[in-house]
Amino acid sequence: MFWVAVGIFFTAYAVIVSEKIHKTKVALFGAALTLLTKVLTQHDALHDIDLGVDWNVIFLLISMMIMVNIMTKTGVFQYVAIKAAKVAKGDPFRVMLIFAVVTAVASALLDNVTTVLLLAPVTLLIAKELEVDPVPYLITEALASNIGGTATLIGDPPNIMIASKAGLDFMAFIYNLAPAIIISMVVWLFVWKLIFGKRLQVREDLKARIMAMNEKVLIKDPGLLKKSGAVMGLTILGFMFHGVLHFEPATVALGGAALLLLLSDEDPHHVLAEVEWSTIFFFIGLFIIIGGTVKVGFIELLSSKMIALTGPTPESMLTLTMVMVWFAGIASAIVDNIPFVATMNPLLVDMAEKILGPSTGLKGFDLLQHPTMMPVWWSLALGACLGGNGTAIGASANVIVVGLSEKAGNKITFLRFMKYGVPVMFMTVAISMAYLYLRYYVLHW
Amino acid sequence: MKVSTIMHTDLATVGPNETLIGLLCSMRGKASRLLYVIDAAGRLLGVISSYDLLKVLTPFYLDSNMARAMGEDENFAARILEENKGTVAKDIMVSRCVTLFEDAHFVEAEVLFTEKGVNALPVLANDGRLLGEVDRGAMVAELICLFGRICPELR
Repeated sequence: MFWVAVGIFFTAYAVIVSEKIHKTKVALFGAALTLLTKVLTQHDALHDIDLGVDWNVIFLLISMMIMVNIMTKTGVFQYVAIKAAKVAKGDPFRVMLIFAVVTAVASALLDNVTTVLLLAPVTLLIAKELEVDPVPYLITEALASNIGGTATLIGDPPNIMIASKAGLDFMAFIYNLAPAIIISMVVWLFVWKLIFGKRLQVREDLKARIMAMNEKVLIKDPGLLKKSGAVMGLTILGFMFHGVLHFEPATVALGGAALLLLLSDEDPHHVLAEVEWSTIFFFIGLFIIIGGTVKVGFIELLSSKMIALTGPTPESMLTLTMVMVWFAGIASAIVDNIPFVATMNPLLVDMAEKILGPSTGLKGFDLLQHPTMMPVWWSLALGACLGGNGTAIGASANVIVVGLSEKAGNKITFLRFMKYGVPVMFMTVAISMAYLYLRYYVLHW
Repeated sequence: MKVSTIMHTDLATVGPNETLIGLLCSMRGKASRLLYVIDAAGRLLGVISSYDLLKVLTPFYLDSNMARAMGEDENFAARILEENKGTVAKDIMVSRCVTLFEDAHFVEAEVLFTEKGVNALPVLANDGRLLGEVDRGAMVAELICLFGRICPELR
């Protein structure tokens, strides 16, 4: 069974990386093989918390997609984008800067793909009106989306997975990750100003085209906007207090989605049809494949090797934290960060049990949230999310902007993306490493 | 009855390398909403509808909501046309289109119109040469004529 599970795992990983077959097909086929070969039973796959599908992650994703699908129909995202361009007075660099900030903030609350899908079309129009190359703008948005999404529990799928596995709440992510992200954004945008500040200049008549736009007509359904704004606000409040109220984040999100569906006049058939089911089933397949490797002891074997390599102790996991942020960063630039985190999560659980279990006597979330362990979770989150900026295939948002740019007649080659992405990835991961070291091992905040 | 008896032959035809400007000129003043792309031997290579031309001249990222927000910028369309000047007929034609052969029966054409929801169908000779076009208007006119034999009000 050991080699069967490991074989399925590595084959699935290799085929996903090769992108020869759609990743959802690979994950589902791998999951089916895991069940058919009896590496996992169906009961394990669907009901076991440690081995099977993490339904928290699945329902949180579905619920957020439902809410965003309804909100999109109001036109609010287009309104915000045009308004932002007008606030920048049509100045091309200021537009880039404000769009980066808007994208980062939106990505912290929505999923990254949705954010870039909503903002990229407006960006292409603005670039057309300003008669500038849209590529730097689009890549900036993808990078901002990946950086901003790192700041919250719901901002990026790896964070959702880490939160569910370690039982971490929404505020813990903000408290621990948002400072690193704010510093990274400030430094990055300062570097961007040095690079693009002088280069992006246009005539006044082109700026006037932006100022002539009327963003007010973009709100298609003010009634629905009020309802969805109120429900989204309530949901975010729910996320902020879900730990105190003892609700899972998925419960809060499901409550928000159900309420918005009820309040809106939208046909549930259409709203549900727009959920990204291929992503959802990718997660389901992946959880089952990884569950197989956990059951046969492969993850335990990797965990022992990692312990031997980084020498964590019950008092400090400094080396592991420092190694993890870079390992996660570089790995996530090369492979999808979702399967990477799906693999690392059980590995870290096993490591926590081995290192901290005997000395503390703790179990479950108490063990996983031990102060010695916490920096490791944050380093995994920072590395996995920020590493996605390295290449055009490192994160879903990157794939989306590359595709949209090509469709608009501006091809972004793999190398061109890397010219922007790799320096930003190294810079933000380095800032994260310094932040983790200073905050958790020097200042002990 | 064969479709060749009701087809018309006032077609706009272009070569596969016709430019976008040339395509717009060819479409001007023609009754048909279709442009037929043919090779040197007159064989049909593809079809370009007015919808296909509008699609080329409308950026994919612009939806009706965003278009409403744009200032009145007549230059916008001109700039899009300028950018697409390099586009030729073979880039935008639909090559796997529904066709009829000259000996096709009237009923086959009638069913194809309802099945595919198209406005007009090209009629080809057996060697693939374009002969003419049958449109929905001609079909209905023929049906009225046929029904007139059994329904006096339609005579």
